[in-house]
Amino acid sequence: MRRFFTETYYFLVALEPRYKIVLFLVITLLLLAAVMVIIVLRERSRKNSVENRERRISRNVEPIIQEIVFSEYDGGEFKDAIKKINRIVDSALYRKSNMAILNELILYYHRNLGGEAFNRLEMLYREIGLKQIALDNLRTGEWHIKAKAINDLSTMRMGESLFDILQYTDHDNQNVRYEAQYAAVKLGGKKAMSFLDDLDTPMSEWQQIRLLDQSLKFEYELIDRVGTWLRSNNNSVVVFGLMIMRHLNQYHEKGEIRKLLYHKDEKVQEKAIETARELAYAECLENLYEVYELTKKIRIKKQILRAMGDLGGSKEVGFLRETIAREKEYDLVFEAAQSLKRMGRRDVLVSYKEQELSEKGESIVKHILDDRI
Amino acid sequence: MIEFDNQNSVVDVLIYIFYFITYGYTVFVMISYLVLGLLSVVQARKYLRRNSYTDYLNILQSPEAPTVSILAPAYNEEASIIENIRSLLSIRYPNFEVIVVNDGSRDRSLIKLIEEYQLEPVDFAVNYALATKNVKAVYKSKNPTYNNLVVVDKENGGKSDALNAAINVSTGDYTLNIDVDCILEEDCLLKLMKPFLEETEKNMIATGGVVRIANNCKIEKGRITEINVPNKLLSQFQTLEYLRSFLLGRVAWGSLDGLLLISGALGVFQKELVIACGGYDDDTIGEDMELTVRMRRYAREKDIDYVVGFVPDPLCWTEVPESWAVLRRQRNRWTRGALETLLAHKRLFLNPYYGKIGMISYPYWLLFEWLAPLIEAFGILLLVLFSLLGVINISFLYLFIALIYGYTVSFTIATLYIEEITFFQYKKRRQLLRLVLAGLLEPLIFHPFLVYCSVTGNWDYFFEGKKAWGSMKRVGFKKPGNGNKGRKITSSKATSGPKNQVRTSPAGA
Repeated sequence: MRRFFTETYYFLVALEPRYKIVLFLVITLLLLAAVMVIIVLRERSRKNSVENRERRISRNVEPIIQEIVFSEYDGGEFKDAIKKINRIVDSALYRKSNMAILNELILYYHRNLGGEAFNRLEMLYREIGLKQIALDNLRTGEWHIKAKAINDLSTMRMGESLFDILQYTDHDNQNVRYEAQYAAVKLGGKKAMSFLDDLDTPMSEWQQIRLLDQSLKFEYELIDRVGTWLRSNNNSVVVFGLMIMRHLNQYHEKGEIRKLLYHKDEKVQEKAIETARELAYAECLENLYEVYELTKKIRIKKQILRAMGDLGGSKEVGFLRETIAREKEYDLVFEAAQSLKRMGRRDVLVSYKEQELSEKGESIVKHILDDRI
Repeated sequence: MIEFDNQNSVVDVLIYIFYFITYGYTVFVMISYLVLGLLSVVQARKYLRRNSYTDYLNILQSPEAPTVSILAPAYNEEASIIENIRSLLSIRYPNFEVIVVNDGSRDRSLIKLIEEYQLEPVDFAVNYALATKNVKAVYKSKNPTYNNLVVVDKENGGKSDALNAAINVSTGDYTLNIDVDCILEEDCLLKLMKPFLEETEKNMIATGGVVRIANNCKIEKGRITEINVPNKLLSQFQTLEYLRSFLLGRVAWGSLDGLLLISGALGVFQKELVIACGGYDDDTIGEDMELTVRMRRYAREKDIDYVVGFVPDPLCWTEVPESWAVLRRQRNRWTRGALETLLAHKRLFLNPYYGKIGMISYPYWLLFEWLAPLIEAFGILLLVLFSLLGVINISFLYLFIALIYGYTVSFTIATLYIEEITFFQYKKRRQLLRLVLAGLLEPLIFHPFLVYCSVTGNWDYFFEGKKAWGSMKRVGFKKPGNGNKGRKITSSKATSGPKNQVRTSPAGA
C-alpha cells in the first residue's frame, strides 16, 4: 500500500504543470459533487427534523389554542396556558425556530376564525411575546424580515404598532414600503391613508388592489382626502383616488373627474371615464364627446362609448348609431352596439338594414343581439 | 501535446482550431453556466423571500383584476380534452375566460366538448385582427356554470393559426397561452399576473413560468396531487435538463431581462402588443420563441420601455417523451425552430440598438445554444481523426474530458441543491438519489444524444429544407391500474418539453 502511494506521489510530481492543474480541477469538482450530495442529504434531514418539530408543536399547542379560543378562560387560566405553550416551544437550540412555527400557527388560526376568537388570539400573540419578536424584526431585520414582521403585525391587528409601522410607508425598499402602506390602512383606517397625500414613489397596480381591498372594508363614510389624491402629481395615487371614488361612492369630488378626462396619462384618463360612468356623472357627457374627438387611443374611445351607453340619452343613441354605421374599427363598432343594447335600444340595432352596414358591422350587430353570448 | 513545425500545414491549422474549440470554447461555456447559475440563485432567493408573505386573496376577490383569456389550441385531443378543460375552468383567478380552439381535429374532440359542456353555436362576430384560417363556428355553453368557456371550431391551420384565432375572439387584456395537455397549478394565473401588476416603471409585455415534468406524477381531477421523479431513465435525464433550463437558465435570463423564449406551454402576453406585432407566425415551427423575439424587437423599435418577466415557481406540468425516437424528433424540431428564429432576426446580432437582447441574449443563443452542439460534434470528429493520425496528446485530452464530466456532474448536483433549498418538489430521498444517479450518467448518454439531434436538426434545416412539424399522434394519459384514484402519467407521446410546441396540423402538412 505504501508503495502504491509513493508511486502515485512521484507520478503526480512528475506531471507537467498543465496536467497538474486539470487533474486538480477534476478531483476538486468530483469531490465538490460528492460534498454537495452530502449537503443535499443533510439539508433534507434538517427539513425533516423541522417538519417533525412543526408537527410536534402543532400537536401539543393546537389543543391549548383551541381551549383559549373556544372556552371561557379567566386571567389565571390564560396565564397557565401561556406557561404551557412556553414550555413546549422552549429549547436551548431551537427556540427561535419554534417561535416562528408558533407564529405561523397563530396566524393560521387568526386567518380562519372571527369574532371573539380574534381577540383572544391577538391577546395570546401579545402575551406570548410574538408581537415583541415582530417589532424587533421590524427594527433590525433585513428587508424581507421587516416586510414579514409588518405583515404579521397587521394580520394580527396590532393597532398599537401603527406608529412604528407608519414610518416605513416611504421606506427605500419597495417591499417594506408596500407592506407598511397596507398595514397602515388595515390598522389605521382612512386616517392612516394620509401617507398618500405626499407619496412620491409610484404604487403598483398590485398594491392599489391590496389597498382598495382593505378600503372596501371601511364602513361607508366620507373620505375627504380624495380630492388631494386626485390632484396629486403621482399618477398612481390619482388612479387609486379614482378607484376609491368609484368603489366607495365618493361623490363629493366629482368635479375633479372632468379635469382628469383630459389627463395626459392614458391610464388616468381611462380610469376617470370609468369612474364618471360608474358614478353616473352625466354632466361630463359634453367633455366625453370632446375627448373622443381629441384622442387617438382606441381604449379611451371604447371607454367613452361604454360611458355613453350608461349615461346617455337620445342624443347619444344617435351618436352610437352613427358610430356603428361609419366606424371601421371593430372594437369601436362592437362597443357602440353593446352600449345601445345596454340602453335598452335593441330596436335601433334590429332596425339596421343590411345595406346600411358592412358585413363586419352586420355580424357585430348579430353578435350583440345574441343573448347567449 | 503536439509540437508544431514551421510549416503552416492544414493539419496544424486544424489542430489549432481543435485546441481552441476543446479548451477555449469549453471553458467559456462553463464559466457562462456558472454565472447564470449564480444569478439564478440570487433571483430565486429574492423571489421566495418576497413571496413568503404574499397573500393572493386580495387580488382573488378584487373587481379591479384585469381580464385574462386562457388560450388553448387543440388538435386531436379527445383522449384528455374534457378533463384538461375542466382543470382550466377551475383555475383560481377572479376574471378569466377559457378559449379552446378546435383546430380541425379529425377525432371526436369537438363532439365530446359539445356533449360535456352543453355547447351550442352562437352568432359570434370574429374580429380577424390577425389573419387566420376560416372559423367555422363559435360555441358557448347553455349551462351558466360554463359561461366563461368559448369553443372555436376552425379549419386546420397549425398551432400558430389556432392561437391567432383564439386571440381574435378573446376579450381579455392579457392572454395566457398554454398547451391544452399541460396541467396548470391552481394559482398559476395569479402568480403569472403578479409581475404585470407589480411593474411600475416599465411596460411588462410578457411573463413566463417554470414548466416541470409530469411523467409518473399522480393526477386527480386535473391537478397534480403527488410529485414523483419519472421511472424511466430517459425522462429522468429530461427532468434534470428541465431543472437546469428553467430553475437556473431562464430564471437568470429573466433577472437580466434577456429572455428570448417564453415557453409555448405557459406564457402570459399583453394582447395589444401581440396584435400590434402581427401575432404568431404561421410559417415557423418555433412560434413561441419567434413571437417573444418579435415582440421584444417591436417594442424596442417603437420606443416602448418594456420588460419581460419570469416567475421561478413551478406552475405548469407537462409530459415528456419516454422513447428515444420521439425525443429525437422533438429535439430535431426544436433545433430547427430556434434556428429559424435566429435567422429571421439576425439583425439583432451584436446590434447595440436592441440593448441586452442584441448584445447579450442573441449572441448567447447563437454561440451557446445553437452553435455549441455543432462545435462539439466537430470537435469529436477531429478528435477521432487526430487519434487515427496519432498527432494529438490523447492523455491530456482524456483528462480534459474528465474535467468537463466533473463540471457537468457538479453543476447538476448544484441544481438539485438549489431545487432542494428553494422549491423542494421531489420530497422522497430515494427519488433524489435516482436523480443523482441519472446526473452521473447523463453526460455520457443523454448529452451525446442531444448533440446528435441538434446536428441532424441543422442538417434537416439547411440541406433537407424541412421546415414543418413532424407527425405526431396523441394518445392521451393512460389510466393507472386501479383506475379509480387519480392517474399517473406514464405514456410516451410526442409532446412538449422546455419549448413545448404542440403540433396542431395534420401529418405531412
